[in-house]
Amino acid sequence: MALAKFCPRKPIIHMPDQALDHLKVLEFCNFVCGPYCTKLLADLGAEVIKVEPPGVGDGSRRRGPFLNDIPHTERSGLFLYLNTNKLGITLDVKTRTGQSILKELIKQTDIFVEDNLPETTAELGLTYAELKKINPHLVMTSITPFGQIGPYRNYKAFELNSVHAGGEGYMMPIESTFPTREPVKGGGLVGDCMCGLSASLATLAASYDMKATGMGQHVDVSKQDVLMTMVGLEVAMFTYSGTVRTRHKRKAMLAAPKECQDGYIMMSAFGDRDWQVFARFIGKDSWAEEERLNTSMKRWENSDEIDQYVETWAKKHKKDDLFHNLQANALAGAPVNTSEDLVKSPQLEARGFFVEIDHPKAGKLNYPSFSYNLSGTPCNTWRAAPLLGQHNEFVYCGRLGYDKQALVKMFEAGVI
Amino acid sequence: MSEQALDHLKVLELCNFVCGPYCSKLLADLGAEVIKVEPPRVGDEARKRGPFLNDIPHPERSGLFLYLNTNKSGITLDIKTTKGRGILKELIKKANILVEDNPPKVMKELGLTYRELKKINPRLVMTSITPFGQTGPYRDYKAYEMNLHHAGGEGYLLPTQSPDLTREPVKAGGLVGDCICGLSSAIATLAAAYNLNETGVGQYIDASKQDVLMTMVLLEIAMYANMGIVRNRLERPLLMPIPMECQDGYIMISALTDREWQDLVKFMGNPSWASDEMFSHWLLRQTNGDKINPHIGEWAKHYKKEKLFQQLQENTLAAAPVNTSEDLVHSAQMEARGFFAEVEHPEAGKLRHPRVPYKFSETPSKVKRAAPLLGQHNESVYCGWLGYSKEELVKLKESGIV
Repeated sequence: MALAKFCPRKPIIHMPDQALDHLKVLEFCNFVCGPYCTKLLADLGAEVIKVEPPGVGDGSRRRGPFLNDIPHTERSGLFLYLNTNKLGITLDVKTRTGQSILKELIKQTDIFVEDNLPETTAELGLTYAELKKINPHLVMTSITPFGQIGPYRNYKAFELNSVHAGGEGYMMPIESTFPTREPVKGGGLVGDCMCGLSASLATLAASYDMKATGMGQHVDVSKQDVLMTMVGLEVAMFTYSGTVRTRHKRKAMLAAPKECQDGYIMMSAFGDRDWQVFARFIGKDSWAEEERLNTSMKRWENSDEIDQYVETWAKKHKKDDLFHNLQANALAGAPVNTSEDLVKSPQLEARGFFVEIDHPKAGKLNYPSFSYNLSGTPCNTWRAAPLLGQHNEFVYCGRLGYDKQALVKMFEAGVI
Repeated sequence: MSEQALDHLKVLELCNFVCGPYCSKLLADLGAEVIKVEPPRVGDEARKRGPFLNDIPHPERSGLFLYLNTNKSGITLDIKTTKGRGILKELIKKANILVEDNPPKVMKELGLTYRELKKINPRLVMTSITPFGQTGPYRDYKAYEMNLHHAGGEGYLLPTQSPDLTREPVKAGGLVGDCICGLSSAIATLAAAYNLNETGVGQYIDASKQDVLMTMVLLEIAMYANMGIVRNRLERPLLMPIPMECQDGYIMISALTDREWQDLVKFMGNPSWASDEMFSHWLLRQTNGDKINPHIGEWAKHYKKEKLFQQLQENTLAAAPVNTSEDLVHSAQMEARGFFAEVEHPEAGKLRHPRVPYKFSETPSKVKRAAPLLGQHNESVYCGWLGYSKEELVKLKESGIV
């Protein structure tokens, strides 16, 4: 383990295996954002019970990529990634029985994360006002497209919509040479992941306070707000000065990646020291000395000339060679990595970024693991995403004390 | 009940520019006491970056700095001097959390590794945020947000659905990449702080920005790791993958399920093209997306984006306008949520800042104070926290240490 050297030799008192051991989380979420929020907690050691509707399960089970392109609700790459380390149960919360069972579970949990529209939560009798009556310690986190208040509170939006609502799409593609083309959004499901991250942070802060004071509370997360805090500057610029920045091309030095023989590299040369080193690095020693380029303002004014030269120059190189040579000169730069580059990267290999997890239906797969390593409480064991209803017996019989006959009856009635 | 969720948590920030400051801003906005340590005279690099208020460059008027450092106290300290490092260690003894973003070799040279620091404070949670993490061959490599965003693999997917397949990849707007990394580091830090409260034991967190970005573009990377397929930004025929142009901007409409598709067709007034057999179910609509998109594009042109947004929502269809910063600041929703907070700053005056994106029912987050002036809290921290006398502070200032 790469981080072993940071581990305390002998813990002062008994250290739990993982940072969030003993924290109990109930997840009643669908698709990406909510499940990503609780995945982050589960990966840090919290016990997360995922509640899915019987028969159909989480909507992400029906989204690709499917392993070897064979669609199957237990083989969706999206579901498998977002639900590692969780327990899974089925429950129809639209039934009376389902609602009362859910409340029994809520009595036993520290955290309840849900992503239903406020009107749905109210219809199901699952508002915070109701739930805190049965569990005053409860931290309830609600993640919705536009938050719990305001005129849009019951509006519906997927990741594609939210990203544009949050103002990021309008900035993209940045430095566009086609100012007339329509805005785009960030790749993958980044928008929903950011919202999940943010919700997770707020949930942890509320839990921290709950442990200190014994009082629970309701955390209202608006996805649109999350995305706005990330593009803070453009939004803040308008509030400060009334300027609307867009995706149109602006004069800037080295603003876009440069094409190499085998891909692209993104190079930077901020500040006078970096500029001088960079000028020599690209074989333009004279530029390092020239007075017309000796401040960042002057370089900005001459950025067309500089960029044109760098473009031609970069084409003669390979992206990884440039990357390592730039770094050897203490210059900031990184290749534009494809997923293939990343999976084969020696850096990620050294960090043990990919973990292999076995799953009864999907088999052994490599999963991205953590973006942080905790020295005292590392994550050593990974559990694959639960099969639909896999932990029904464990939770209903083990936790709530139902007997097996009751479980059969609930199954027959379609409640679980 | 605490006033704010993270009251009583003491955080020391030894960071520059965007990512680390954003990490500790998130903690400060939740009530933690964050002391930002800046090099004397020059301060945080972000002070030199725009946008500047009214375009007048001034280290106390950088929009970037002002936004990233709300609710923090600010002190100056030259940690390259032995005296400065001695003082830093005194501060570390009193802190619960240290967040830093220096290259591993720099921290080693300064004698500020976790191994050293835990000797003086065994309960310390130390979070190091670096471009490529503390281990591996790239650990001392240098990269800014622009570089890393591409290293993390997202740039390669952008612009999605590009009509110009030869153009170079782009990165997402603003400084989103660094913000994501700050957010992720804040979660790890809080998890460790939670654990510290339970066990009394601190620990070290090694956060790699590249890793953070990769966990966000999950699917494309997992697809290669498991199936050997490299997805990129090239155009694929999909149903409404991009926003549609309206009279006054763009709108992003989704109709993923059969029911949503039927509702959308009905809302459009059942146009005859929509009844074509090749649009009859989900998979067909996806593969024939390029035949549907122009029809919807033509239809959307007759609408204004906000009006269309509201009408689609009334028909329970997912949609959102492509908002500009102007739209967002004037949004009725933002107003109802009280998203912007006005803060007074001695140099920059009254400014409106975005608040935290979550509302706590019992411990609401507050914007209590604006970003600190360079060294604004030297006296309260050095004299108040560490017990230096005013004369000693003057001497430290004269010798350039603070």
